[in-house]
Amino acid sequence: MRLTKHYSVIPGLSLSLGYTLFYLGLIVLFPMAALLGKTMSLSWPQFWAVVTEPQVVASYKLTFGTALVAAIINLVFGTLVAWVLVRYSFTGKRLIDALIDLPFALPTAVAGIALVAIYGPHGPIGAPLLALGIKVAYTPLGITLALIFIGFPFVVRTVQPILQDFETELEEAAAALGASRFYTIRRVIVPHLLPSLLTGFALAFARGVGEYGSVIFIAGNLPFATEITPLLIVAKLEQFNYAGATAIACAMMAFSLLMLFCINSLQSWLERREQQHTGVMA
Amino acid sequence: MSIQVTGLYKHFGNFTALDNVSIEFPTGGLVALLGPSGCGKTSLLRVIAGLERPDSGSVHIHGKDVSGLDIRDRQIGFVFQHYALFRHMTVFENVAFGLRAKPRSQRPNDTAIRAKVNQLLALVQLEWLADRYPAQLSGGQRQRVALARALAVEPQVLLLDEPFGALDAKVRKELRRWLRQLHDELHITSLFVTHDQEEALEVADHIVIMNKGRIEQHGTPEQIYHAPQTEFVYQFIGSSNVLYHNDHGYSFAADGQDEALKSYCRPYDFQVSAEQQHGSLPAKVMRKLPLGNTIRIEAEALLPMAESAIIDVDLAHNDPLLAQIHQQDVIWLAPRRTVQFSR
Amino acid sequence: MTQVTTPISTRPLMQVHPSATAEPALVRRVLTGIALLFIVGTLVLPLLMVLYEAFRSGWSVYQASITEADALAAIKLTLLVAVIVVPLNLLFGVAAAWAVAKFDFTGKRVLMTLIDLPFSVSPVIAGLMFILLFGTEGWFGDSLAQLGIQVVFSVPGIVLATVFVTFPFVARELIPLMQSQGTDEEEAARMLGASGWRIFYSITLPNIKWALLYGVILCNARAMGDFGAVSVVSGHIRGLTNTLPLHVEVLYNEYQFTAAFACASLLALLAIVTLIIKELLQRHQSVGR
Repeated sequence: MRLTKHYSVIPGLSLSLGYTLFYLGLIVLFPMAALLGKTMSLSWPQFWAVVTEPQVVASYKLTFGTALVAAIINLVFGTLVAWVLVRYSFTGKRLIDALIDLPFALPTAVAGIALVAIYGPHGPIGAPLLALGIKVAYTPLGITLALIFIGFPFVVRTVQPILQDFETELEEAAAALGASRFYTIRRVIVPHLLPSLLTGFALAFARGVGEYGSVIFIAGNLPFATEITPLLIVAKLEQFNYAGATAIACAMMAFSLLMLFCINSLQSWLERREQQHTGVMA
Repeated sequence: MSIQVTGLYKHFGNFTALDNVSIEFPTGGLVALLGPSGCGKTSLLRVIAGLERPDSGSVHIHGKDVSGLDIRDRQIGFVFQHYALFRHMTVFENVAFGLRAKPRSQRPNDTAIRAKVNQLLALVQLEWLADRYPAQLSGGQRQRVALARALAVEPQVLLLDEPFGALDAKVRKELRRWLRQLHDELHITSLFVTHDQEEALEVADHIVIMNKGRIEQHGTPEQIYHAPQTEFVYQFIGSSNVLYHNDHGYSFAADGQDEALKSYCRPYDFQVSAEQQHGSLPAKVMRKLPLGNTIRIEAEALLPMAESAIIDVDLAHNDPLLAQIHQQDVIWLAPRRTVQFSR
Repeated sequence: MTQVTTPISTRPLMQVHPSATAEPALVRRVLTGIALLFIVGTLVLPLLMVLYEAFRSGWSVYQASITEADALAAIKLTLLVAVIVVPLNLLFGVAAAWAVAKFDFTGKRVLMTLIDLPFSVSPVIAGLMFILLFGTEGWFGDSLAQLGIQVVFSVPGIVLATVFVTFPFVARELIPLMQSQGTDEEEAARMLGASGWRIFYSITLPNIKWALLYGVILCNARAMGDFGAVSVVSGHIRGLTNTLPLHVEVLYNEYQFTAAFACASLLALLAIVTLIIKELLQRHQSVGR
């Protein structure tokens, strides 16, 4: 990265940028280099053997699968909540709006034990569900619930501002042209929200994949069934298998970065398309 | 000469904002930098201020080369297009800022600052708003606060970026006159940027017209208006019609003749009649627009070819001819005065 | 009270039917109902559950649980970590936002992506990185051991891991705000003769103070509440390297549920206070603009 500065009369670029790069290097880049360095100490077959162990592969499936399901559920309900908060008025709206950020503020371990207390075999919801034959705690269903909790604010908070800025004139125009409400939503509103929906989805998904604190209490942590990848990394560490832990960590990061890259590309494609369209109009 | 720029070049990526600009601005003058958007006028202002650094060239203020000088030592008063008032400070604090920011040895004491600020607020007629915040002021008031703030540090030159750009038409008119009066009182060398030729002609005593990073012409408003030296200036400064001149006289179309000379004619420079005269050209009346003292006629040039051109013709509102001509009538136009520019 | 009703005949004929720009009342009510039910089910219920479980055995048990020696040690450590981490990331956030928002330079987009990077790293992996650097088998493990400095399974490791996971919070709040505010005010101050520091504290800082505080409380909430990264580097030594969230886990795994929930209720209180401050700051910000 070459830094060529453009002239400005405001002072402090070298100081602020210098400190930023120094701190970034020290806190973020250097430790990540350590991760890569440790992975390099494994030969390729060794690395491959570790990251494709059946137990590890099972954990990927569980982690990415539950994160995906949770992100999809959050996409649907997050959009609904954002819509209700922006468009409708009801008593207690401000309180509800403030509560949306609870998962950002509540430590994950607290969320984890609270969810077990609710959905566990003796919990107020867990017990009746168990009587119906639905086991929530210590199953993938429980993991998904925890990931819905921690990922919930992402979709709401990315969609809400876009929806707020959305000009109702566009909807009125569509309506004046004779479009039905459903048609207007499908053809006018949803395309406009799409980039922010994708961002919210990606953030919720990425957070879900890496989540540890809220999941381990409700997961049950049985190998091949309810053991998530972050927990597997911790388990390897506790056996002092640093190389193994690092290899899995690297594979997991590669997965999520690839995933984020795809979603970012899709998103910038969408934005470019929109810009081109508005460019033609202007 | 109070401000002198020599050989300025400035590029932003592939865009050339200043292309070898050299000019001297008279001391004590009120100069308008006029041109369409993207012509480089704001870049020139910002380079003189020291907000941008030119790729090459130099800026002298009162004979001193300020190119390498820190912006704080240039002694320039700058009024931003959107005023850049400090939103968390009162009007008083905004105006006092430059005085309070001086190094301890040069800083006036509190009483002196107070007196100076009050004097400036009196000058811009805003003493009664000293304790208000910028958000509580109207656009015109903010503009005047910005001016008072710039004047507080007793600058050698005053630079204003589109000073009337963000105001509505009526306030704009008042403020123009006010700025002119203020300048006559203070006689501080001032440059302002504008894209409105009427504003430049009305306020400035010297106009610099820029286009595509170059200076097209500069001079007094009279010189600019009555003796435009380039095609661009002629067209930019007022309405104009295009005619072609050849051996047989004038025509609305080039008729494919290469030797036909492109000429320009102002709307009020036509001799208009209802019947054909020698050397007159036919046009069909489309609309009559009342513009106060004059009536503008939009007429479609009657051409032998299919293409059409709209000709603007101005008549005095009491011209007896106006009663005779109606929409769809044919009128005959003979240019009284035309201008040609060498290629 | 008199009601003004427009006679139907005088209403404009060209009227967009309300059903075109809004949903029918029934649909509105059903959608609002579903949204509220979802929020109560996923967000409110866990919060209430923590408080219920914490106070289930009475006030005295609660009080005993949170004043027990290990709990107090955990509270102290959590506060200590936050007191170190938050100012560090605050300083970084301001520096990064100043560089990114007030200047143009090549590589700016890359820099902004890197600043956000810690958010896409699992906290467990964040902890692992510091073990690889400072653990007994790590790059600096030997040299640090010779100097008698212990990073991993000790307070410095916890601080480092927490700095990593809370790294972007302040910068992320400041950058968009400072970008939208532009550079005119700073340039104006510069032309009026102000020094760099003066521009910062008398022009920039007052314009960003609420967003700055907002970033700080979010950073603080995460710093006090982080579990994954800290759990990897702490070593879970009771009374020494257990932060409050780790202490909750230890108590829970020892089946001391009431004590665990009592400690958890303190963290839930932290969350509630954070949300209240955040709400107040947002009101301030919308008034201030």
